[in-house]
Amino acid sequence: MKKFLYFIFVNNRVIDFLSSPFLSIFVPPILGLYYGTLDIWGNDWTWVKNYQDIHTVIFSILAGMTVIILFIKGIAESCKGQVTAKYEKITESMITFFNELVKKKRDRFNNKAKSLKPTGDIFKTITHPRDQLEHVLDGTKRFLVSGLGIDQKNIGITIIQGNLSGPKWWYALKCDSQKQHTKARELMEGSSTARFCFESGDSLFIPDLRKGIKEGVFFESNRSKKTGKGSVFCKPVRVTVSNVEFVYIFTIAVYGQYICTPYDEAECRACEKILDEVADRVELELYLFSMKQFKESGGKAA
Amino acid sequence: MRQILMSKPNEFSYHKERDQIRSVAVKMFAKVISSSKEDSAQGDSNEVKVSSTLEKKQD
Repeated sequence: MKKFLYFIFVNNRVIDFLSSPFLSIFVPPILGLYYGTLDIWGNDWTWVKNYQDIHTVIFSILAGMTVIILFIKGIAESCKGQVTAKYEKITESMITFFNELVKKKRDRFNNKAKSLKPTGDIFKTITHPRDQLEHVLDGTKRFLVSGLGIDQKNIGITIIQGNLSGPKWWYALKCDSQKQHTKARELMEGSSTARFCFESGDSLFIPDLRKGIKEGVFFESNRSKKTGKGSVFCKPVRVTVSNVEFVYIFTIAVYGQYICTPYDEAECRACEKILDEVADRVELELYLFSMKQFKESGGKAA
Repeated sequence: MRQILMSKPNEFSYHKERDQIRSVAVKMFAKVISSSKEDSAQGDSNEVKVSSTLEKKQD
């Protein structure tokens, strides 16, 4: 029923026209004036008196239109009100996420700037990409919970880092370090989303994990087997500092529920767009993270 | 490039998975992101490929 109501009353051009302010402002007063004219001067004016059948039809049409317009407008406003509230919630969550990142950096710069020495290593003092990355991952989780309504116990956010000369793979960061994660090496050697993204260089969003398993691009873990459903978003990031390459795979996995409706392409595209926006912030911090590692390791790979 | 691996219609069964309110709100929000990025997206990958199969690199 709810689905039917939204299909009919939200994003429907006919309904948008019928519930437009123009119609709801003009049609009811016209009906009132018309009724008044017929009632007051109906027996005096010949153009009313001699064409009663026509006036009955016109009045019925106007009365019917008024009822339909006001009814549709009422339901459409109610549906759109709920959508607007949710839209505002998503926007607020995203802005909070971005603001917190900026605030954290600004506070650190403000504190460190007071004690900087001209001979000191300013870059090392002011940049703390690991802290910032941890903050970005926590912020991403908070955004998914408050903005998209995902249960926080269902979320897994990780950054896998690799050394291609080995190759060696490990978790550079995990949002929930106490949770048991599949070993990074196992993921990168198996048929996983992370491996696909690393090899293709493209980000990948799989709204339904079952599709990923079927296509051989999702590694089934105990957790995913237990929950049976979920979504995953993966983005590879390659940063070249001087001639040294740093490789990362950022992953957002949701188990036990879907990030979006898996069979609605428009919604999947929209969700992917939002997740890509989040991943852009992670990518930015990974650039700094790589430069810092490059400096600390004396120009060697991680 | 960015990719989305979509299921084919009726490929899997779903039981009341759609949240209509969230669905519309998410689309509205994504539209705002898209329009805000149009001018500043030079160099960024805005191409999104939606498919029900993926081309995997051969070992």
